[in-house]
Amino acid sequence: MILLGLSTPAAAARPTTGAVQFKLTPDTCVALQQGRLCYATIQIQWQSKHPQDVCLHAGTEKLQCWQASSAGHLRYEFVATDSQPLQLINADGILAESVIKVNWVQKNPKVKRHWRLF
Amino acid sequence: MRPFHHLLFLLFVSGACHASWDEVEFTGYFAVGAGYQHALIGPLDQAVNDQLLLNLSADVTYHNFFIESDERRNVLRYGSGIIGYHLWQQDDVSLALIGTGYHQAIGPDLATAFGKQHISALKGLQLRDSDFLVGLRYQRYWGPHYWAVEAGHDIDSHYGQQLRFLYSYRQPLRNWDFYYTAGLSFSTAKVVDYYYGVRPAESLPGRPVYQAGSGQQLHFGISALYPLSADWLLELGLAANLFSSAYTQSPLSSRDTEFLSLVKFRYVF
Repeated sequence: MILLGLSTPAAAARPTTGAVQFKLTPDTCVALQQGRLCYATIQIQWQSKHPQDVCLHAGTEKLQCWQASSAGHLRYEFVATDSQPLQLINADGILAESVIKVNWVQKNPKVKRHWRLF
Repeated sequence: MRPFHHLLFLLFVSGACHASWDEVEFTGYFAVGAGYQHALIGPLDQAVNDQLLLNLSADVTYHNFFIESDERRNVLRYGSGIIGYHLWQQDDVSLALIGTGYHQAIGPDLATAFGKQHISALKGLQLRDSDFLVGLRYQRYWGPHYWAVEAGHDIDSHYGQQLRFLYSYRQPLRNWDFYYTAGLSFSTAKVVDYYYGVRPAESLPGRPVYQAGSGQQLHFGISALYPLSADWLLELGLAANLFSSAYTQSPLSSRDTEFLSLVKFRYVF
């Protein structure tokens, strides 16, 4: 639904090692102003050909781990002012990564908008 | 746009043309939407209801000059921006010379974005043109609060004066912004009589001659803004305007309280 405010379709998977699909839906959060906290509910899905132990990281924070799984799903409540990288990691390193991008509506950074309507 | 508005616009543009682009701050808007209203003068409802609303506007600043779109504070003022010059400003406080329209035209044939619209219930009325007041505005932002005082004199149609107080409170809620607005305006008899008086030549059975005195309006509004994408905003608005007896006793008035609503999609460029 449009009012839920997530504006872009799913991010393209960016596997760093073949055979892992990693998808964020949506992959962008839009705020009214730059620097303001942006809220979005992100559906995160991953799938691999072989079962393995993986953990999902958002920056330095560990969001969730799966044991001996070949697929996983997480509903992630994103709240941040800036774009945030997400990484799917196993014992060998980064399996896949993507970024939740933060955009904002106003384009001219020189305009002092305070809290006004646009 | 009438000649005076042209003149102000050209003055502004000529000033801006001498500026380097680095000094000009510009944000343009194209809005499409729909409104629904129960206006004080009932037949005017058809000028908004079931019509597509189209609006092209901009916020521009160049040194102390500015143009503010009508999108800024009150989503329920259809199509009337403010042109002005900051006489003094410090942090979140400013005093400005402003020119703006407060009242829209009333008459049996009104100009709209889609051409002239005939309102048969107002047949026999002379056109009451939209106004253009020149005056002063003092405004202050204070955290989530905004308040302003505007005083102006019309130089285009009724030549009356108006004094307005406006308060607005902004409440961010997740990605939404909600604005709660209250306003109070005082208009001289010239203003009220120009729009709501009935001249002898306009009198009909059921529309007696009426001479209005000075009047007051009270405004309550709530509006919401939501970012759909980096370029598109969704805007929702609801408002109620209460009028003093100088307005409501007019034979042209259909009700005591006016209700307005608006849904708009705004492209920002």
